Amino acid sequence: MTVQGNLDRNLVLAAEDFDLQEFRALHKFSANDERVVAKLIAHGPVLLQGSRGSGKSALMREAAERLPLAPNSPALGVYLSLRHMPLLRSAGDEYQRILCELLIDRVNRIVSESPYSFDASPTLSSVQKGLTDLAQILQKRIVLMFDDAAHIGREASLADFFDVFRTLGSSAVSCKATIYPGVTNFGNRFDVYNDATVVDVIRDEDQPGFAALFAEVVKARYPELAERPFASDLTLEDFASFVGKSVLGNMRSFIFACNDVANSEDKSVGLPTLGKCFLEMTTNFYWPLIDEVKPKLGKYVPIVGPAKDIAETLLAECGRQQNPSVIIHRDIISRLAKAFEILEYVGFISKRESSKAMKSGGRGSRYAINLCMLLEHVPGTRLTADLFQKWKMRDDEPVQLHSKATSLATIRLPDLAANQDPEILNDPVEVLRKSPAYPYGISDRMVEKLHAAQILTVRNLYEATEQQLDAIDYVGEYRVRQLKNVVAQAIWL
Amino acid sequence: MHPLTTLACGNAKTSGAIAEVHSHLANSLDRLLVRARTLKNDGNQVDLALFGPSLGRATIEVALTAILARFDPFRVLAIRKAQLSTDYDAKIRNPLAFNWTSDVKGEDNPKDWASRPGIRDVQRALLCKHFNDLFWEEAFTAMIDAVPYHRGKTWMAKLKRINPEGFVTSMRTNADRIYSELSKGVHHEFVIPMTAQYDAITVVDLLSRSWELVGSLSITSCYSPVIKPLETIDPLDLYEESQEELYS
Repeated sequence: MTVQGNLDRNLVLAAEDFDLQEFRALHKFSANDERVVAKLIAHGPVLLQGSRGSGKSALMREAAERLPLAPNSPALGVYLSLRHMPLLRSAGDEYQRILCELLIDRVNRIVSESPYSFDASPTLSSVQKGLTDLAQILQKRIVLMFDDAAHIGREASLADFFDVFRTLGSSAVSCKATIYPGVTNFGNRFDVYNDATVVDVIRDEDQPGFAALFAEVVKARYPELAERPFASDLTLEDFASFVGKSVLGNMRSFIFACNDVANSEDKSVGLPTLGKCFLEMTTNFYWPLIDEVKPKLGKYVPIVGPAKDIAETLLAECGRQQNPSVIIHRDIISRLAKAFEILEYVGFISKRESSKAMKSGGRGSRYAINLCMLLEHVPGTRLTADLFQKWKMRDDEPVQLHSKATSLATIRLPDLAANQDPEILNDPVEVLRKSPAYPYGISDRMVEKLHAAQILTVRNLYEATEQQLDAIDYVGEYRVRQLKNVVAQAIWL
Repeated sequence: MHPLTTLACGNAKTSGAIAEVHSHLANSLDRLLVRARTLKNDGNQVDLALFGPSLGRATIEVALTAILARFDPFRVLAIRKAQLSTDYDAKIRNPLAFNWTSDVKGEDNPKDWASRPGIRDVQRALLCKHFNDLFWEEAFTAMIDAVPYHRGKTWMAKLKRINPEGFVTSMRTNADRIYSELSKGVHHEFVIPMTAQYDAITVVDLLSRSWELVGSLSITSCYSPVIKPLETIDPLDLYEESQEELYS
């Protein structure tokens, strides 16, 4: 495999896209992660909450892999990714039927090479009975792990999903699902705190094992980077810890940052390398990311504009003071809540404390600011040794933004329309061209070929079967996979 | 003493009936914590299923009684008095005995302050709304303002994401869920083998959640102006040591 091939392989980011051997080799878990995995394996309903790229899928897949269909396994794990277009577009009985079909298919695949069988028709009651019977035969619990159930662009299905989640849970069946902080709508019939335990995927620099975890990830994913010389003011552990902190503990962003540093031509990795990486991440990763996410947000699309304004205000104020921590008055937070949730979701900010006293009275929430993005707003835009030490030590009092004294006071959120499908589905297929938002996007020539095959929209491309795509001149097995990956990135959060 | 015992029970009392109660609760909690940790580290699946839920539930009961006693010694002293009475009959349920619903949860919809509650309407359950309004919200607010950013480890990181107004609701929901799950194991509700549902990892998770619950309530109580401060020791040190010790 070429160097480029290796790098591309390193940027496979979704846990579900790895085969088991690669998954095991490349995914590392801290002591806190191990406790989360234990909660996923243990009995009882759990909602795993975390922002995009925080590692929810990896934790869920790891839990499922530890529960094989084997005599010494305490339970049978069933991992099911719900990245399935018909689910996005259906509601009520239809949604339940499709979900049941997916689940039946998944369980049948797991038991297919064993003496056991799983008989159920695609209704909730039948699946419930089938799972209970199977658990009885196996003499062990079944743990259902629903990944990617929460798609914030489409709320109607989520109420249906949580009906299924609650109904299937029993003494023999444990349900687990991944959700996004704040933006997941559970519907009226699901009480999130009574019907499940919510577990946060938190990775902040104050946690024990934070630096060690990110250093392990560098060694596993970028051994060549771990072997490279570091400048005198930096060690591998410093590098991993600081970059991990800079991307607010987000594993996916961390991989992108490491990839950028690994591609750097600097002879040794030092603060200038990191500075360049941070500016590159800001321009070609974070800002494109919010544009990539925008068309998937359904009725929340109009909030992205104000969310960007909020980000600019926070970055300008915190950058001016070179301070990566800010307390924002709760009146502002409650008025602009959805915009803050979107900024958290894309990793621009991360809430560290819900309520903290402010100097001038009142209370606010404390957020950590993404250091990659902050650097661009620091006078001089250079990661100097002083700035590195200052951000590493974090001794400063947080910046405080009060309800009336900042430009946040003038930002207003628009009224929202009723439920809408994510607009990305109706966008022309050209939006998937290679760009900062879609670094592995399609070429102009591919666009032409798709047009010729009457694949004109993102929806058309998603719905095309692999056979249909393979039949297009110029598209072979490799490009079918590329097309499916890029369209999945476009649609799913 | 285990750091979590000191955190929950406070310093030993030197004299009087409350010293006797404190000593009993602290010694009991200490043994429960040590036994549960040993059970967890031994990892015997059958032992964990049989004994783990009992140890976890007893840990919660004893620790929450101790915390209640620090806020409101009236309740535990009343129980003591009833138990010392010559009419005390071990065969008959003691109407004053510690009770999960009336001493921990409280009623679902207690009378609001604006509704002019009488003394009988004011509840004294540890996690009830009235207790929250009188003690917990103040203590929790004081704590999250006082604890430095880098202190308290994982348990504190989670607590800091809770709003002061939501603290008790969150603790009550959590406590009720853990207690209920542990109780199913204690009462041997299952006629199928216990290990089918209470496998080792589930019991360890329940024990871990029990310790975290006790730790969260204990550390918060230490920031209440009503509670006598710990002598010569920082409660945050105990809180961090508890996590290190229980997860080692």
